[in-house]
Amino acid sequence: MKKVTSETNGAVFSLPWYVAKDEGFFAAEGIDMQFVQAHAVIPEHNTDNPEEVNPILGHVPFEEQQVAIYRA
Amino acid sequence: MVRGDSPHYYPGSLGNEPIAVQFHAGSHYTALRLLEGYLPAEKIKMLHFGSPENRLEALLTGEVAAAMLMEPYISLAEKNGCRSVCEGHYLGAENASDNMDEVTFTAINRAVIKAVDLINSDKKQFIHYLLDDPKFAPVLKKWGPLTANDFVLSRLRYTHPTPYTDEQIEDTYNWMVRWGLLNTSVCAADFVDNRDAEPVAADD
Repeated sequence: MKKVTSETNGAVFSLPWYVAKDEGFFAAEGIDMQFVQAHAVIPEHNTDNPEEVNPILGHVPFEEQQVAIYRA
Repeated sequence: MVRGDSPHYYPGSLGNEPIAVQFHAGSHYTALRLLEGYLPAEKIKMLHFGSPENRLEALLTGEVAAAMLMEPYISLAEKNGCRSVCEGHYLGAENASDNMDEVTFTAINRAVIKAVDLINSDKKQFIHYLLDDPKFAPVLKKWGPLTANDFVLSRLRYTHPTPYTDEQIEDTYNWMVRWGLLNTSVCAADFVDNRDAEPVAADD
């Protein structure tokens, strides 16, 4: 089995990936799929300026190369 | 979404009203695309509240006039008396790092396609994944209850993974530049690479 780690970010977006894992569809392809949750984004203040917000948001696991896949 | 006691019934009255989004995410871009058809840019007042649980909280406590939400937060907001003033859908897909090989990514997509087809055969059967999401648990505890019967299933749209087309990339790039969300020194081809994302069939 090839181990692959993917970032998940809210069940509504990651639903097909959760179902593929639980139904054994990844395993049938020889893939041991592991999930890492994207970080929650809790702003220190509620800015109206997009430039004050890092566009990486909660995709820290991908930026830090803990996962090979993320959703955008 | 707006609260049940809100005077707003359509997007055009939301000018200069605070709207909770997460900047640089789907809630931000989709809200802009929806509102720009009704309001001039200078009257669209968005505030960064981050994750959807924060946006729902800001809406229900009256901190903002409206919030951009996705499921299951939409259904929970409706359960709390809120209503939609406009709805939009956007395209999202998984992106792989440079070291992901094509054989593995194609195999992953085959598995995802099977899951998409299974979900679409009976969406209600899979709502529990949304309700059981650990991130949703504290929100549900505070603002629930919510059951699978409370969802509008047609809002849940799952399609086979497909690479973005050059036209989609170009159109989105131009739209982001127009809104000042992207540095014009970067071209579309610099940040989108479809080399390992060709469409696959479930039985490939």
